[in-house]
Amino acid sequence: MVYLKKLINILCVCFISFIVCSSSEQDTKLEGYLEGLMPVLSYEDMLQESELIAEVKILKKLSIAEIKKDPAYYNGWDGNSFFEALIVEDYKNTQMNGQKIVLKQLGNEKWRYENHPIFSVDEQFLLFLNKASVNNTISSIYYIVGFMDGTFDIEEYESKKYAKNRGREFNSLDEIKVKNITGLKDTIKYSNKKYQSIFLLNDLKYKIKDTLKDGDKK
Amino acid sequence: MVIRNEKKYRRSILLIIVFISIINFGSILVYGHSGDITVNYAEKIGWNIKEYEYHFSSGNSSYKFDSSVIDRYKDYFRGGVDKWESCTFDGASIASFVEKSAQENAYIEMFQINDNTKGVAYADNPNATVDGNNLYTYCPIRLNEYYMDKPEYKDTTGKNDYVCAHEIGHFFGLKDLYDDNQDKLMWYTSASSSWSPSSADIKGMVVISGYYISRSHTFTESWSLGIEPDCETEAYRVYSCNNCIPVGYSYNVYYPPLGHLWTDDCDSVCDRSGCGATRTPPHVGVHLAMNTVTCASLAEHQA
Repeated sequence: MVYLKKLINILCVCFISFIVCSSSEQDTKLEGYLEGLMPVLSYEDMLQESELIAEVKILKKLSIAEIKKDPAYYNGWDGNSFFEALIVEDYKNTQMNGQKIVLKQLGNEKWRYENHPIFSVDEQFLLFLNKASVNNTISSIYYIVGFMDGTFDIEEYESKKYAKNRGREFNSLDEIKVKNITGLKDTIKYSNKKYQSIFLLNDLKYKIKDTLKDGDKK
Repeated sequence: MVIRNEKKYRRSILLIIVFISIINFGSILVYGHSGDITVNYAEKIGWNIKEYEYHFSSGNSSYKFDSSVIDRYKDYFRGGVDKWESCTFDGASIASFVEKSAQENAYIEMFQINDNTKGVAYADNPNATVDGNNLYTYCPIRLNEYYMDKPEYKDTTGKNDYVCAHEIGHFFGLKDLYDDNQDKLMWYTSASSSWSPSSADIKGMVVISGYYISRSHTFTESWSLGIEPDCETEAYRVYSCNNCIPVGYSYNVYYPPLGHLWTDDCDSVCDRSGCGATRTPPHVGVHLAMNTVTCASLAEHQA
């Protein structure tokens, strides 16, 4: 009798867990893709617009409720994801190394850009970042300048760090020439009948310094 | 007394198990629905459509402006509308819009925003409403003055009209293009060399929204023959209506199990008994929700 009662209790707990799990799974199902015209930013534009150009590690995903009070959260529009992220290395030399920021990414589990998957915890990227603003109200939240074009995967080959434009694989070398985002002399990686454009992170660091120096001279 | 209680508990357990089974089975049905699949396959031919995502049912539509939109932005949007209204396919007009007042219902509502975290403009799908077939009943389009007021947009004649035409393309059901399609309106950045719908954009639009504006859009969800994987090109060879002759390839980078027929020479009842299927007009493009046949599985089968 007692065992039966226990069994029923266990079953009830399992049942409730099942309902909770299945409803959350349905909530996070991809409903479709965000569609919009992306701005075209040259490397110089991206450099100027970016307050931070940094290797960033995603620490945790923030709930919308945690972030909603910020004016940069646009009118309850729920198409964004927010993360707590760690600045691993700031390439623009703004002394942000080791600091935490709140990062906004366009898209969430339900709605996202097709070539721009939602970040996951522990992933590390090179990002061009600036502070978000809505109706000229500047927030403490950072967004990615250039969106997909400002997001780079970081990969290591032979103990050197390379950056690769995220979600972008090209069918031909000509395409890469057109879409050379950083203006750096890219290395071409060919696999799976697709081309990828990658560059050394160290080169980027020097290029940023040089470009800023040139800007100062003017 | 004890026996009766035991029976009661057994019945309760049985009920819970039955209930869980029903719920579980229901969720399988939900996830198995073909509407969960996004088709992305036609980029190589210059247009790509959203058959299973939000789109519109014809070329006849309406729009209105949010009350805060200024006249200059209204004119941009009207310019975008004009670009679509002046398009023809086979000599017939493909689109017609009615401008409504802010108080009236309209399929599109245009908003003006100022937000540096978003793109130049976008069809706001998370805030759109659709019917059971994913056809828009309401689609907000937001124009971002953060970009559109910059000199390279504002002071370049026609550029912001082009931005609006691109977003209206999304409303009809055209997807952004990423590959070698910078000369199409639906190129994903504002650097397209085509500021009006190109012939490929028009073809995509008439496929997704109806062959001509007088026809309603329908499409076939299952047509398992007339397509086979081509292991050399990693694409699918698609057969035409007549004589099962291959007419081209459906490149399906993201969702290999799906194929797509884009031939436009099949505007009549097509007997494809040789291929094992028939089709009826007015489909120009027909989505082929075929079973998963990959090159690997084909090789295994042939071995």
